[in-house]
Amino acid sequence: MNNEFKEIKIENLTANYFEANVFENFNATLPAKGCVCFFGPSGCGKTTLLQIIAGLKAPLSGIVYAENNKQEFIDNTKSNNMKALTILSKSSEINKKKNFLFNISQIGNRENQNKNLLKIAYVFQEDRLIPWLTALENVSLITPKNSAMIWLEKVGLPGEESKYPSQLSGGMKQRVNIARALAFDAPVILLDEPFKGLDDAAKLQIIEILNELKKDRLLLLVTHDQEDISLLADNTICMPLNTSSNV
Amino acid sequence: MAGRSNFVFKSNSLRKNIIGISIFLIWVVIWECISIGVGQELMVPSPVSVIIRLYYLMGTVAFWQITATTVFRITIGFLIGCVLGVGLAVITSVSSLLYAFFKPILNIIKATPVASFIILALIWIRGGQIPAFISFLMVFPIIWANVSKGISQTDRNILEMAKVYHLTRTQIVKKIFVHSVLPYFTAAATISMGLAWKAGIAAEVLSTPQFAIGTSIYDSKIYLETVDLFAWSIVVIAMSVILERLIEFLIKRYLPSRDMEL
Repeated sequence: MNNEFKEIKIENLTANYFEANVFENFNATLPAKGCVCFFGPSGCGKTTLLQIIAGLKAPLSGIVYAENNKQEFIDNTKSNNMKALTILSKSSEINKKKNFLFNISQIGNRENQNKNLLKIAYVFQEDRLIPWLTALENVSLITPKNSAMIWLEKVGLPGEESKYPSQLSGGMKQRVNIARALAFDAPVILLDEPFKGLDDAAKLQIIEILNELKKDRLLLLVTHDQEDISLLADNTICMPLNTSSNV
Repeated sequence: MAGRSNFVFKSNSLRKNIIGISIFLIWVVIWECISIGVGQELMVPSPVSVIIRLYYLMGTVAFWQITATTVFRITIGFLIGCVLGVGLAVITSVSSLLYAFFKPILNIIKATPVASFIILALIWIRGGQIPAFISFLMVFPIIWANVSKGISQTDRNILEMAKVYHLTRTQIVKKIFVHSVLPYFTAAATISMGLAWKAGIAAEVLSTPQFAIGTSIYDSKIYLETVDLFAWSIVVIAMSVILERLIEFLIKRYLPSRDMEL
C-alpha cells in the first residue's frame, strides 16, 4: 500500500443527481484509518458522495482533498472527466486548481498517470464484473494471479475462480466484487452497500476481513442497515435529505 | 442423463437435416417440372444437365483458376473494408466531430446503387481491381456502422470500474472493448461478406476481367449457354455460403469468445 495521508477533507461540497441537488455545502473531515459510515435515507446523496471521492462524478462546487503527513494535498476538484484524487505539491495550489479540468487523454493510461494519484478501491453497489472473464480473471485484472486466488479464497470463493459471472449467484458475484476491491491494496476503500445479497455467514466473514483492514486504512461505508454500522463503523455521518451541514 | 440429452440433441439435429434436404429436393423437383413445362433448355435447363455441366467444369483447371481469382479479388476488398471500417469506427468514436464529418459520406455510399459505383469504377480504375473496390465499398460502411455502435454500447459501468482500478489502455481495449464490439463485428462481417460477394460478381460481369466468375457468366449470356449460366450461378451461391461460414468459423476460432456471458 502506498501514498499515505493524514486525513481527507470535504469542503463545501454541493452535488446534484438528475438536476436536483442531493446535498449542499457538505463538510466533513475523515480520518486515515478506521471505518466511517454514511447513513441516511435513499436519495440523500450517499452514493453520489462516494462517486465524487472516487473521481467518477464532478461536484457542482466544493472540494475533496487528502492531507498527507508531508503537508501535501490530494485533491479532487471539478474533475468532470473522472479523475481520482490527486496529490498537489503545495497547499496553496488547491485554490488555484479548483476549476482545473483534467486531460482526458490520461484516462486509463497507467504509464502516463500521475504517480501521486491516491489509490481508491470501490465496492460498487452493482458487481460491475466483466461478464466474459472468470472470477479469477476479473480479480487478476488488478493484481497478480496468485494474489487474486488468495483474495477469492479469503472472501469464501475457493473452487469458484474459473466460473464466469453468469455462473455465479448474486451473493457470489458480490464477493468477487469485494475481493477485487480488497486486492487493489488501496489506502481508501469505498463500500457502497457491500453486503447486499450476502447470506449472514458470508457477511460476517467479510466484516471480519474489513475489521482487520480498517486498522491501517480508511473504509467509507454506505449502508441502510443499522447492524452493518454496529459491526463495522467507528464513526457515523448521518446525511439527511438535501444536506447542508458540517460534520 | 447426459447420454440421453446427447441422444435427444443428435436426433433433433438429424431431423432438422432430413427436413432441410427434403425441402431442397422438393425445390429441385419443382425446377425440373418448370424445365419440362417450358420445354426449352435454352430458357430453363433441367437440373440434371446443369449438374452434369457443373461436374464437367469442376474437372477443368480453368474452373478452379477462375473461382480462386474471384475469391481472391473479393476477399481483398472485404479485408480492406474490414480494416478501414474498424479503424474509422475507432477514430469516430473518439471524436464526435469526425463522426459527424464522415457520417454523410458513409450514408451516401450505403444509399447509392452498386451499379453506379461499378460504372464509375470502370472509368476510374483497371478492370481487375474493380470487383475488389466494389466489395470494399459494400463492406466498409457496414463494418464502420456496426463497430461504432458496438463501441458506443460498451457498458459505462464497466468502463468506470476500469477507471477506478487504473486499468491500462491496452487492458481496456483488450479486455473490454474487443469483447463488447465482437458481436457487432461478427454480424457486420457475415452480412457484408454476402453483399461483397454478390456485388463483386456483378462488378466482374460489367468489367469482365480475365479469370473471373462474372466474366464466365457474361460469356455464357453472350453465347446463349444457359446451362453454363446456371452452373456458374450455383458456384456463386455455394461460394457465398462457404465464405460466410468461413468468416464465422475464423471469428470463433481466432477472436475471443463471449459465449459464457449468456
